[in-house]
Amino acid sequence: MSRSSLIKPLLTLLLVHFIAVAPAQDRQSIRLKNVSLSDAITKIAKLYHVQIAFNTSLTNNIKVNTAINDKTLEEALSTILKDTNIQLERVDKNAYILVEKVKPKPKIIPDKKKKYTLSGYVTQHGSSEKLIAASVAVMGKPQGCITNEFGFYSLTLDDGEYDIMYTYVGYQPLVLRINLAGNTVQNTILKSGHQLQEVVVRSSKDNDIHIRPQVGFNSLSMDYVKSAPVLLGEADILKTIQLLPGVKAGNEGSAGVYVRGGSPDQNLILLDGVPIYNASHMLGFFSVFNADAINSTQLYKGGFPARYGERLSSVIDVRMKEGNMEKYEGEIAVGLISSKINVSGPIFKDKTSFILSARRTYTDLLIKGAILLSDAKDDNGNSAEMPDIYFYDINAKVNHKFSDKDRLYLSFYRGGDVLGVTTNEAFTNNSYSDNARTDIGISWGNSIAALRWNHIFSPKLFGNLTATSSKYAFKVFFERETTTTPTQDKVSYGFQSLRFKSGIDDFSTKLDFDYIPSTIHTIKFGGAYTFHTFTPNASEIVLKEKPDQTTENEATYRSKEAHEAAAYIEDLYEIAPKLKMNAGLRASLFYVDGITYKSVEPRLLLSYQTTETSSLKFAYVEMNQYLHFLSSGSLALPSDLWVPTTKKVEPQRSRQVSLGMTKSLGPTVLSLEAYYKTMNKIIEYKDGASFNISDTTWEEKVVMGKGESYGLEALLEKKSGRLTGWIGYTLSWAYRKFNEFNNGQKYPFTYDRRHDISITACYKFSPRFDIGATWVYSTGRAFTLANEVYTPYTSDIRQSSDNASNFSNRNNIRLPNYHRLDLGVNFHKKKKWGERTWSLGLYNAYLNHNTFFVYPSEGKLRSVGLFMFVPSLTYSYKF
Amino acid sequence: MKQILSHLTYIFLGATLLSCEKNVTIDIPSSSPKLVVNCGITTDSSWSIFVGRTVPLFDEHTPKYINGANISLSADDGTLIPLANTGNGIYTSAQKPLLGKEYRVEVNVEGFSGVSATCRPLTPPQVELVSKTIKFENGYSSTSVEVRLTDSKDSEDFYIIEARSPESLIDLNTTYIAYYNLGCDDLACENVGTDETSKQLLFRDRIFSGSKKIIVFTIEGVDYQNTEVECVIKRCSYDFGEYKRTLFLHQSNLDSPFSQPVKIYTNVNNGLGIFASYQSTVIPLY
Repeated sequence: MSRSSLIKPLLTLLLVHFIAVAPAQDRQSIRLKNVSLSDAITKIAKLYHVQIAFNTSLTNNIKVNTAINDKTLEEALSTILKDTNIQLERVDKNAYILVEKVKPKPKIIPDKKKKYTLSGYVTQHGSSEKLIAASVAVMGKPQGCITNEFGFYSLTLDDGEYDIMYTYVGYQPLVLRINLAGNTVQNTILKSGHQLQEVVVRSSKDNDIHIRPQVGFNSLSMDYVKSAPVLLGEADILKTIQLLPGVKAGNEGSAGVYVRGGSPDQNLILLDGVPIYNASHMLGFFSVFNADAINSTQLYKGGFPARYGERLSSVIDVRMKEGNMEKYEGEIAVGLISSKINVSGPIFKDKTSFILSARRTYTDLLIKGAILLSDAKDDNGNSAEMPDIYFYDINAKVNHKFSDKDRLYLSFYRGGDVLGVTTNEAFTNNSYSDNARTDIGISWGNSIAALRWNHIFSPKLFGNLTATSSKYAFKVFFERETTTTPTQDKVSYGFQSLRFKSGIDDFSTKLDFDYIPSTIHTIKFGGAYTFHTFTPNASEIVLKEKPDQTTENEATYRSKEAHEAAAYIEDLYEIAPKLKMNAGLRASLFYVDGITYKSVEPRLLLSYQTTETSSLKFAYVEMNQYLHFLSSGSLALPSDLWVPTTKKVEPQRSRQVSLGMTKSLGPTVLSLEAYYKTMNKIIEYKDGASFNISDTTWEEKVVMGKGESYGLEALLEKKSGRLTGWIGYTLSWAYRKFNEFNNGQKYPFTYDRRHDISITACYKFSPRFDIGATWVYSTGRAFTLANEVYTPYTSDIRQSSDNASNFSNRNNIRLPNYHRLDLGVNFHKKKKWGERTWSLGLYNAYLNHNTFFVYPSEGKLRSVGLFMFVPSLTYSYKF
Repeated sequence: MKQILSHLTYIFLGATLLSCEKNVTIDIPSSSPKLVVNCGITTDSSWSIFVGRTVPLFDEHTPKYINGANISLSADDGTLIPLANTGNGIYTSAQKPLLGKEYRVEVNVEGFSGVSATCRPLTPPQVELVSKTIKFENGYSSTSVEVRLTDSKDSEDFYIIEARSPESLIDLNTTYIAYYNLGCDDLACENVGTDETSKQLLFRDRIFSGSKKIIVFTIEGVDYQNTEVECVIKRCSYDFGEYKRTLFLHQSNLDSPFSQPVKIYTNVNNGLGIFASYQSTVIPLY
C-alpha cells in the first residue's frame, strides 16, 4: 500500500468530522415512562449523542411521562421541559445547558460594591481526584479562573447572584447558581464525559484559551495518552509529547524530548514537583511514567511563568493521581513485554486515600525461558548466559485531608533498569578443574519522595509547602571470581571487581503561595532551596587472591556539593477586559567551589483577545540552568553524566521570544506560534574526549558554546467529541556553535529537522470500540559522516593500517526523511466486576525503513533501521 | 512442545526488535583535498616521512600517497636535511634526528594548500623493571610485568607500553616484529580493552606528573620457549600522545551510531597527520 493511500483516509476522516452535521438534528423516538426529569435528560442525551449539562437539584423532583415520536433534539427537550421553569440554551454544536427560565440578574448595588471570594476545589466524581487547570467561569461575564496544580480555585466578585460554570475537557460541565453574600467555599465535583459516552462541552463562553496569557503551552489529556497507539502498547507521556509541534523525538523509538532546539537535559521533568534526572527506561525506549498513575501533564516550551526555572528549554509538569477518596478501584494490565497493576482507594473515607501503581517488564524472563526450553549449551557444555534485562516502576501516594483548609500529601516513586549477565564457566581435565563466575551489568534508576502540605490561609491565599528528595544513580559493575583446583596441589583463587557510580542527590524545600486579591490580579510567589550532591564519577576496584582476604580497595570517590536557591513572583494581571499579562521575575543563586553565581530572569507573557474566538499572544523569557549534562551519544549510556556549574564551567542561559495566535474553529482550536531562542554556555565534550574513570576532572574535557533556534509551529487540535486528536506542523532551524569545532562556524544541531508533521487521532465508534492512528513525518536528522579518508601514522608499531577518516564539518549530512504510521484498536466490555479492554497495536504499520544510522560499506552507504514492524497486544481489567 | 515454545519466543522477540539494513543514497558533501604528513621522530631511527593526501569516501582509484612532493626538512640552526623519495609517498634520509634541535617540515604540492609542522626530539623515559611473573592458566601463558616510571614534571607527557618479540623469522627472507596483546587494570591507562588498541597501552601523566608511577600490565600468549620477549616503553610528546589517543578513539568509535566521530588530532598546519616525537627504552624480559 502506498504512503499516500494511507494518509488520505486519515486526513479525510479528520476533515469530515470537523464539518459533520450535528446528530442533534436527527429525528428520534423514545418512550419516557414515569422517570425523573434527570433520567429523561440523560436518556435523551445518549439517544441524540449530545452533551447536556443541568443542575440536578432542579430536575430530580420532576417526573416525566411522555413519548417522543420522530422529533429533533430541541423538539424532544421542549416537550419534556414544557411545564417546568427550565429552559434550554445551546452552547456548542453538540452541547446544551439547562438553566432556570427566570434568571435573576446579579444584584449590583452601585453604592455598596462589597466583594466576596468564591473558592474551593474542583474534583472528579467517584474518586475525588483533583482536576488541574479546570475552568471556572462566570456566565454572562468575562470573568473566571482556572484551578491550580492542586485543583484549588479562587474568584473574587461583587456580591450578588451568579451562574458559575465549571468545565474541564473530557468532563460534563456543571452550572451552579451561587448567591455570593459572603466569602463562599464551593467544592465542586465534575462527572466524566465518558459516563454518557459522548461529547463534552466546548463552550465559546468558557473558551478561556483566548484570554489566558499562555504561549508555548500544551496540556495533555491522560485519556488521550492511553488511547494513542505507541511502541509495544506501552502508553507513554513523553512519546505523546513528542507528537506536539516544537518537540522533536530523538532516535527511533526513543523517549528523548528535544524542545525548540534544546537538548534533553534542558527539560525540567517534574513528578509531583520533584525533578527527575533520567526519565528513560531501556536506553530511552520507554519513559519512567506509568500512565495509570498520572493525573495530568502540562508542557511549557516557551512562555515560562516565573514559578518555573532551573532549565532552559521546557518544563514537563507531571502530577500523580491522589487516590480514590470514595471507593476502592484498580486496574491490571498484561502486555507482551510488561504488566502493570494500579490500586487506589480510601484508607479513611473522604479523609485519607492512597494509590499504588507498579509496572515491570519481563523481557528477561522471556529470554531465560527460551534458553531453558532450548537447553542451550556452549562448546564446553556450560549453560548459556542468563541475561537480566528489565525495568520496573513503583508509584505510591497517600493523601490526607485534615480539614477543608489543610491537606497533606506523601508521594514516592522508585524506578530502575537492570541490564546484566552472569556467566558460569567450568572446565575440567585430568590435572585440574577450573571454575569461573562473571557478573557484568549496568543499572540506573531514580528515587523520589515528596511531602506536601496545602493550607488555605484565607479564600484569597493558598499556600503549599513541599519537602522533597530526588536521587539518581547510574552504576556499572564487573565481577569475576575464579577457582582453579589442581588435583595434587593447593587451590588457586582469584577475585576482581570494578564498580563505577555516577549520580546526583538532591534535597529540596519549596514554599509557594497563590494570592488572589481581586478578579484582575492573581499573584503567585514563593521560594525554593536545593542542596545538591553531584557524584559524576566514583569507582572502586577490589582484587583478592584468597576468598577471606581483606584488601585495600583502590577507590576514587569525587563528589561535589552545591547550594541552589530561588525566589519568584508573578502576577496574572487583567490590564483591560481583553488584555491580560503575566509578568514575573525569578532570582536565583548557586553556590559551588566557594563562588556564587547569581541570576535574575524576567518573564513577560501577554495575551490580547482580538475577537470572542481568537487572540494574539506574546512572550519573552530568560532562563538559567546551573546543571549540565555530559553526553557522548544519543542513548542513555554510562558516559552520560550530570555535572554542576563550577568555577570553570559557567551556568547555561537562554533568551526566548515567542509570538502566537489562537483561533477557535468550531470544535477545534488552531494555534500558530513563532519563536526565536538563543542559548549560551552550553557544554560538549571536546573532540576526541570521552569519559574515563581515571579523570581528575571532567572540566578539562569540555568546551562551552552557543545554540540558536527559531521556527514556526502550527497546531490544529480537537480535544472533545468522538474524534479527538491534532495535526501539528513545525518548521524550524537549530544550530550549535563552538570555537573548538567546525573551525568556529555554526553547524546544525543533531536534531535540527526542517519539517516535522504529526497527525494523531482517536475515534470512539461506540462505548465498546475505539481506534487510534498516528502518522509522523520529519526531515532526516543531521549526522556526521566522514567524507574523506587518508593513511594514518602507525609506523611506530610497524603495522599497516586501515584508513583513517576525516569529516569536513560536524553534522554534514542528512539522514533520509522519517515517516511512520501507528495504529491501535481498543475493545472494551463491561463485566460483572468492572471493564475489560483488549488493546491491539501496530507500530510502523506500513513497514517503512526508517534510518537509525548509516555507515559506509563496500563503496555504498548502508542504512540500519530499527523496529520495522512491531505488533502489541495488551489485556487490561479495570475494577 | 518445548521446541515449539522456544521457537515462538524467539520469533516474538525477533519480530519486536527486528532491524534491517539496506543501501541508501545520500548527498555527501565534497571538500578540498588536504595534504597528509606522517612522521614519528625518534633519535634511534633515520628520517622517514610519509606524504599523502585525503581522498573522497568511496574513491578507490586515487592513491593516498604523493610522490614528487616539494618537501623541505630543516633544523632550527638552519641545517637542511636532504630527503629522497623512495616511492609510495615515503621520503627518507640517512641522517637521524638529534636531541636539542627543533625540526620543521614544509610540504608543497601543486593543487594543494602547503602544509608545515615542527617538532623537537625527546629524551628517553626513565623506567626500571620491578618484577615479571609468568602464569599458566587454561593452557595459556600470561606474564605479569611491573615497571616503575619516573615522570618529569616539566612537560606534559604520554607513555606507550608495548611487548614484542624482535625479528622473528617467518621465512628465509623476511623478518618481522610480533607485538603481543596487553592487558592492564590501571585507571591511568587511556585505551585498554579494545582489539584495536591492545597492542599498545597509552598512559598520560595527568595523575602522576613529576612523580614515580608503578604500572602493572599483562602480556598474553607468549611462547617463551621459542622466542625472546622485550618490553618497550615510549615517552611521547604531547602532540604524539594526543595523536595516538585520538587515533585509538577514532578506531574504537568507528561507525558507532551513538557517538560523534572522533577527529584525529593533528599538529600539521593546514593539513592532516602527525609530525611529532617519541623516544623508547627497551627492557629485555626473556
